[in-house]
Amino acid sequence: MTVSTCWRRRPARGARPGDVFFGNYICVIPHTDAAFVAVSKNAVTFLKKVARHNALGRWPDDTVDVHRAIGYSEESSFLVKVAHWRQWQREHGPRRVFAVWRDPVERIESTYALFCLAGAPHDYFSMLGLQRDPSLERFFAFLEWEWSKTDPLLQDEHVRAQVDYYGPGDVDDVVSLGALHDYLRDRGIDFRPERSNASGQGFRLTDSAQIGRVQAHYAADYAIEVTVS
Amino acid sequence: MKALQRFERSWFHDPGACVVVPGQLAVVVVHGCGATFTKRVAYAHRYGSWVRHAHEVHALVGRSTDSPFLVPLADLDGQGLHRVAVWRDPVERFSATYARWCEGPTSHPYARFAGLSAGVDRWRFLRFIEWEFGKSDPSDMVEELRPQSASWQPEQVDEVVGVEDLVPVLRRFGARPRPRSRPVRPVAADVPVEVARKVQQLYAADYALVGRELPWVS
Repeated sequence: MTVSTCWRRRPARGARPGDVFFGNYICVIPHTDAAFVAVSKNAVTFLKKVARHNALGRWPDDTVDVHRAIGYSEESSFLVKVAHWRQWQREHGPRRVFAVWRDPVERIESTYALFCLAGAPHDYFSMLGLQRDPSLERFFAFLEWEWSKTDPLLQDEHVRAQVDYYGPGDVDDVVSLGALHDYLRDRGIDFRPERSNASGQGFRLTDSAQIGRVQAHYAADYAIEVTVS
Repeated sequence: MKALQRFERSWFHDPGACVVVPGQLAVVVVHGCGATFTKRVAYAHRYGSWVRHAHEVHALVGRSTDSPFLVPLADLDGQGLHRVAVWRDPVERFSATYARWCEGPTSHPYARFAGLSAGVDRWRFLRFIEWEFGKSDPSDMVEELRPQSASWQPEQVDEVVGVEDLVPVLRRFGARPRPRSRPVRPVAADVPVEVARKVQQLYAADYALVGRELPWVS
């Protein structure tokens, strides 16, 4: 299996409302001085593999396993809530934190291609019927629903705005997706070049109104200063 | 990349009808219309114990027609069972689901994903129902919001009863609900008029099940 299922878990009984989606975490890459903000659809599966690889000394091929191994909460030795990061560094020493930036339109195209067109396992998308009826009209209605949730942590993490994962003061570098491999090499972080979770659908939005709607909603993401590109 | 999982079946279930008294009585299972209660009675009739917690009832009796208790409604034709459908006013059913999902913590996974947590107002809940109605196949709708008319039609059943009349029917066939147990919890009748109207419009087919004109609230 090459597609992630791990982020799609059913909420446990008694879980808090914010627990149903992946929260805002920084993931530590062991045996390096690096850590990254785990932003969904921004090469996060690949970066989790990098973290696991640097912990174990071997590249994890199984996407599901790597998500399980990294975990979903601070019970994981890899994950620290963005809000707790400064405290964590005081206790464990400084790390240079980076976030990957991806064009929001491309990010939405990728989400749609992966979960609606390719039918990657995803409980919420299944419940919404977006895998049996993957029309763009329904997908955009879903986006409007998610975007209208007042608390970003209650939004599906794949469509949560990048600015809602971290603030400018939380990261040292913002790396464009296309520059990620070079950035890791420059920092001496060992990895195997791959494009994890690539939907392979080659899907692109063509409707200018839909593109404009995505660009308008994610205007703040476009204002993020990309420092490595 | 090939599709890893094309969902040929809905995520949600079609529970069909619950055989409450084998050989005699089956009740169409419609969530929000005494479904959990019906399953409790069916389990108690067969095994003698009254299961208290709803999630246990659904685990024991099952949620789909894979269960020995649950049978597709069409399969009951010619079996000699008395087939009962329980009807509930859609506005009352709306209120009951709203109360369960949006007036306190809910464990319903879909409600939680959709952010229908405590504090969500009825208009937003209604907007979510409209999303469900936008699905092209009613079987894709979550059970609690699926119209009753998607589960049964009058010609498929022998008797239609209001949810408040379910207990006497069960007793008539020898099933013994626990004393003072109720098919559904009472709900507050404080739905804003405009919301009620919208619910009535959406669920017009449910009113037609019992031959009612739309009872427009004024």
